Amino acid sequence: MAVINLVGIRKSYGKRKKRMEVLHGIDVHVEKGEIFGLLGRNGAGKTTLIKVMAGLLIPDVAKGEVLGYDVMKEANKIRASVSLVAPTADVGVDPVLTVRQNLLFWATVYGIPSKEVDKSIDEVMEALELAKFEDTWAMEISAGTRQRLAIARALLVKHDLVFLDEPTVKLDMEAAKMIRNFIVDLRNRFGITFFMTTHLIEEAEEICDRVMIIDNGKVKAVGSVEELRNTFADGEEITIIGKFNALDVKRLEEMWKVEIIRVGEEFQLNFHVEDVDLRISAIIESVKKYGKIMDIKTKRLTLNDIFKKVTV
Amino acid sequence: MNELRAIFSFAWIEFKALKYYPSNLVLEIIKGYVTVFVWFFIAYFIQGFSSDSFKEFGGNYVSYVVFGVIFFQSSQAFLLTPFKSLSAAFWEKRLEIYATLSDGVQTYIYGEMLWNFLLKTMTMLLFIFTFIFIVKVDLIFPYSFINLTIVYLLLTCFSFGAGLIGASNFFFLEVKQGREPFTWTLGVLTQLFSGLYYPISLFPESVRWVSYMLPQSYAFDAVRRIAINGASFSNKNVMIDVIVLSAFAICSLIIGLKLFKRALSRAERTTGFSSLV
Amino acid sequence: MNDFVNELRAVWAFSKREMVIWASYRVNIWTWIIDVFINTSIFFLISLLVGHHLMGAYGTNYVSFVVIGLSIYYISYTNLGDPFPRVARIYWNGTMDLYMLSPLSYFTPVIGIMFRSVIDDYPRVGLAFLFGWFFFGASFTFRVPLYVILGVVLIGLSTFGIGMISASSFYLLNFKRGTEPVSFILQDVVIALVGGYYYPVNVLPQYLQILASFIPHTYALDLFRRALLPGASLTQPVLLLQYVLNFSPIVVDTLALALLSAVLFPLGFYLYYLGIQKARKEGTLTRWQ
Repeated sequence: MAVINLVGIRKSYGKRKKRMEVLHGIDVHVEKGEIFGLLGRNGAGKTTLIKVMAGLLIPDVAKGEVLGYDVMKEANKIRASVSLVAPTADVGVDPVLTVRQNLLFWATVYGIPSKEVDKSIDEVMEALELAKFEDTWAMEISAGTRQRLAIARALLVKHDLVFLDEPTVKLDMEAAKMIRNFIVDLRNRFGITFFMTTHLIEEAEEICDRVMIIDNGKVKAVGSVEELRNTFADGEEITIIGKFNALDVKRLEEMWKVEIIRVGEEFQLNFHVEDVDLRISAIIESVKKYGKIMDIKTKRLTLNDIFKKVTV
Repeated sequence: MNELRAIFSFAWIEFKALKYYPSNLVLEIIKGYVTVFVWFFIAYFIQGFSSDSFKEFGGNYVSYVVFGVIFFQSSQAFLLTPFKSLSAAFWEKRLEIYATLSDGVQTYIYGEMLWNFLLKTMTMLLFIFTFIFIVKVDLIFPYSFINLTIVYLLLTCFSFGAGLIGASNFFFLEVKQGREPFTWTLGVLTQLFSGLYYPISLFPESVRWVSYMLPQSYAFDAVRRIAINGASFSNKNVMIDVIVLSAFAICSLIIGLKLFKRALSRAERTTGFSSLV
Repeated sequence: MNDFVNELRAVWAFSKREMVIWASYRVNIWTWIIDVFINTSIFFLISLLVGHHLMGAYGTNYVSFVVIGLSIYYISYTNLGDPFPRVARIYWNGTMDLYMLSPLSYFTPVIGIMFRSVIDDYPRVGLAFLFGWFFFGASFTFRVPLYVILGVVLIGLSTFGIGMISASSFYLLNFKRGTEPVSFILQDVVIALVGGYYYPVNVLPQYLQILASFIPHTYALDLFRRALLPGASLTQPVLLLQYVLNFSPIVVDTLALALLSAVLFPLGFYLYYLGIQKARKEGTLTRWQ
């Protein structure tokens, strides 16, 4: 079931001569329970896209639904059914309220029934290791902890769709890992769909089921990391080091696209392939016939490589 | 010399900022006008009942109040400038950057004071001209101009000194926003006891000592005697006013500068110049 | 019904939050009590200049006259002056998006967040009466209670309506920094000058009296002074409209207030709604940090 199904999103800012189109007809399709990553450079249109999908921004043109609500006509219903974490930890966190008071306030704003308020707060505080700061003023906790508080605030109410705009931007590696685990756990337990933007490509690679890369308001690539690798895979490399007869090496050169480097008694064979996974066994089989393999290395295409490639 | 240049630079930045928000200046001037006009109408309304109380000041309550309010507005602005500037720079995270320079915070505050002095003096002249030449309030002008300027400068020096004392509470008392107690108390006492809206003679003898403790009482008394009665420095009352006001101005500047310096060293040793956690 | 209860719960949550924040600045509690005392003291001392002269159609003495002025000033200061800075605060600290992503109406956060000023300002009305009566010889009566109650409601609605018009200018006219012109022109210039907080409107030049005829404060002050000040006249006209219509001044006041409220209150909410819609188109709903 599609949680987000939008076609042809266009959005521009400014008037007349100063008009600038930020989104040039973007399609977004996200399934329930997916963790969907949105990658793009600064100014690519990520935040605008999130705001359009969350019903905060009226697009110039768009067709389709978010959580079954029409994006043009039922933005108020969309807004009431989604959560959002802004990229700055201080947003929605009141410095002179304690951590618990902050969450209590937002629980009421989100309309959580009185009986369930304490339970919801305890649950998110435990999951995000905030319990020990319960009675500390928000101004006295670190920026990283405040970011966790901001995430806890957004996850107080279990909406089916949560937008995260760079949720781990200010966190150290350990805290970022905790947030990622929490996101995956929530998805697994409650089937919540997460739509997140991030600058950390490794993060997207680690937890996102699918990613979309946008540049200058246009979709450059969309799919799982594996699918993107297959689509954009050229330039991957298999390196085999071994002892071979020089004539046999010549034969390999005729069979494969290979670069040969002689290192003393040994040869280093660099095979350029489109996809390591597809070719590696065939290459090993054919090399084995001509000598002794001492070492094999592969250089696979990372999401980072793909990102650089499509956003050039 | 370099420090002086830096002070001028800070004042210059404020002047440049006017270009981006020119309406703010206009609105501030209008607000000043409204305050003076509100008191003008109050005085105009009260005038008929009260002429006896103002014999000593030319018998004209409207002139008495209007002139007092104009001077009070400026002195109050100078009193609050150091704390306000410090607070703004602190919360906008600029203060820490200034603090990295040698005497940077002081230079910034002096620059802000200089800018406010120029701005308020200009607006004050505007008010005075309006009320003398357009509204035609009874005032002696321009013969009283030099004497008035001297009193104005003394009052300004006192206000800046007292403002620096208030600003040091930013670090001494950790009053980082809202109202700073020293300048607030001084402002309140001035409004009540300095004879701003009514002559001090209205108070019973037992209360008047509060008025005598306030330098503003002497300043307002002097400007009224000079501007309404046409008295000069040779007038006994004006002379006393000027001497006492000068003493206050010197003391407050010395104490203010010392305390502010101490406050900054305390900040260096303790909480620092930034709100960042 | 459930939605309405949730809105009320949210307003209560905002109020509690504002209360905690307010109480965290303890010095505030004392300074605002002292503020009211100082204000009434100043006018008491001025009233000593007036002596025992009656205030024309408003009877009694100058302190009592000014206590009514100060009370309306405090109410207006909150209702009219507060919505804009509150919207600005929500915008600048980036929370407007978050409030929009809750089931609350557009207006609840503004109303809720205003509670700080309600705590701050409304009790000042009581304090002004108390100080005036207890320390400074102000005296009051309580005639035509129905008109007084109506007057309180109507001045509340009309000033809040202007407050919401002022708040809407934040988005509609993009006044994001500096002084907001709507509340400035009305509250700080026109009303301060011609509303009649500290002097009766008829001391003003006639063109300012005409201007005063379009302000709810003029009628509220006239109504409350006639109803609450001993010796005040219920028949002698003071305001231009009272001369023109030539029937009971307090009825004129009430009708004028009702008319102004009927226009200003819905207009304020409608313009604020338009402002939010405009910001949703332009992407200026919040400062995304």
